[in-house]
Amino acid sequence: MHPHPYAFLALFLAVAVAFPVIMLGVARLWVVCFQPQRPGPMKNATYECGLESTGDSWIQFKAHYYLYAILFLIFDVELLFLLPFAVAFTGLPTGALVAMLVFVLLLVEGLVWAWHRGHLEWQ
Amino acid sequence: MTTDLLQQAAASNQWAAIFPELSLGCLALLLLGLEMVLPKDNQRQIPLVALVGQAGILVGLLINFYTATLDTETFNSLLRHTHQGQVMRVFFLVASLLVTMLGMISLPKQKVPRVEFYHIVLVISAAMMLLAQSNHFVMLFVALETVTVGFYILVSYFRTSPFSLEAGLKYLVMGALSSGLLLFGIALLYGVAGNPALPGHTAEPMGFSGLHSFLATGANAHHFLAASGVLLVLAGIAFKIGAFPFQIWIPDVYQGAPTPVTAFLAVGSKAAGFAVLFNLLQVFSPCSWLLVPVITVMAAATILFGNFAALTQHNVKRLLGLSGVSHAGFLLLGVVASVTVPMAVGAVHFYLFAYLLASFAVFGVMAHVAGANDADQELDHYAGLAKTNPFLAAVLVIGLGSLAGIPPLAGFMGKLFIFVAAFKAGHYGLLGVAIVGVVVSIYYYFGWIKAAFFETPTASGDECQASRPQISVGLVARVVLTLLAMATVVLGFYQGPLGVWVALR
Repeated sequence: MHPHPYAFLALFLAVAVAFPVIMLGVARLWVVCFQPQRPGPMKNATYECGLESTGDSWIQFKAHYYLYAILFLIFDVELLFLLPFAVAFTGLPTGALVAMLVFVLLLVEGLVWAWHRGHLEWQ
Repeated sequence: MTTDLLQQAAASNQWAAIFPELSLGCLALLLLGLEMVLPKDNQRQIPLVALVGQAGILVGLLINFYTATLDTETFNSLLRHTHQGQVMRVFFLVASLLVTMLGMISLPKQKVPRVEFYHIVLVISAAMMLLAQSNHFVMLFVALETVTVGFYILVSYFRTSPFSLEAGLKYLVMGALSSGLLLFGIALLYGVAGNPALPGHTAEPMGFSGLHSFLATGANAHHFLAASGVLLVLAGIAFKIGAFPFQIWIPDVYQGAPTPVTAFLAVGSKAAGFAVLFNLLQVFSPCSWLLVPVITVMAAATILFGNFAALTQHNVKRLLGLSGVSHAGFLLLGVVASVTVPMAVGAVHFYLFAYLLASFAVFGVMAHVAGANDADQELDHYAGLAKTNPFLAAVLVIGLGSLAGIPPLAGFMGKLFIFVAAFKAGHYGLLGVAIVGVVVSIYYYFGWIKAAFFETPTASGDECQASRPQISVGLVARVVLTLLAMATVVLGFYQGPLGVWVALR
């Protein structure tokens, strides 16, 4: 008899539930058997990457950063399209080269515009 | 797909078919280039370049109205060029031309970068033109998102005004929701039409022709998933046209957006929604058992909601937004009628043109009367306009009269055509609701006219008038507003060329 096609999902579910339960259970068992409770100020301190957090988390971020991210995207997308183009380059007609040139020039205009508006200067 | 097929597809791409859109894109890029090249004092000429360029493209489009590609599919059937598509192309070009003109009036009152505004308007109108001709869900979605993303920027363009930012945020959230609904509908239709277990399944379930033939096969139109997909796509479009129950974003966004953008949203975005709706109605025609009752209820609710909600408004931008909701309802009435009466298609297009002329006349006056705070445009600010500026008041009366549907203006003929079509189609109940809506609408439109003609500025109004500089109407604006008002009057008496042109039979 074949198992139900979705039977593996039930198996996944069982493993997914059992895994953390077993892990936490073992840890709990360890605490109960070998580790007596001795809380102190150092032990109760918040642990966050080794550094104590300072100040409010509601601070203003510099919006300028996002402009950089968007400008980075220009190159990112350009690469995404140029790579397959470069791979198939030898088999492509002239039209493809012109099309790619137009595409790259469109992106370049965006970059030049942003440059001209002074978005590349970090104030 | 093999390389041969791909090359064949590449060879058959007819760039000439989308020449107007390409020119608009190039014009948009040219504006940015000019901004970089021209010295600072000459940059006032850039909007003029945009105006002249668009006028040139419009003339070219009108001359080549009956192109060789009419009634053919191009770009691997991503696009389909129809008579309706050509009419909508002209419509969007006229709309973007007028928005550019409004921008030239409104933008100098604010401290914002100028050139990007015209750039984005051009990109949006090119995308709208593609949207009206799309024949494939991928094309439709990409064009629609280009329009919507452009509008996100434009709505929050006056970025120092909290109203404008609020409007931008609300439009972003609502726009994302509507795009989500639309995509979910498209995904359902794609899944069900490409399912090999169903009869009539197609290899190209995103293409409109494949989807139509699938829906027309057997009982597929009654398939639960297909019907859900059709409804969700309809909901996504209803957001764009502001039909009940998806109209909730309209008042706030219309109020906060800069006046030219409000005009573009009210006319361009709405018309784009209707162009898509007509295309989809043909694709979904086997599902009309579902669509006709849904759109009928939607139209009735939209007409009633828009008109009754507009009654209590004092901010003119909110008022126009809610009255625009009711206009969407009247247009939906024509859409419902078009299922059985082909004449309704022409009637809706005529109504759209009448709405365009009247709306831009009114928005043109609003752009002049508005002060430095663009979101703050109350009915009281119009008190005594007839004395201080009779020209603007006259244009306002003609525009509002046409929107209200007062004979013999163009708006009246538009409503008449749609009502005749609905009568022929036998939607008597809906017709009754629509007539109630028209009667209610006269009240608030005439309240506005009353403010302009019969009210004297009150104490607070005096203060406003004193703080505002005397309204001066530039030469270009004067000519354009005169033309809009004259066209509104003339179209009421004589629809001849335009009537034939929108295939009114």
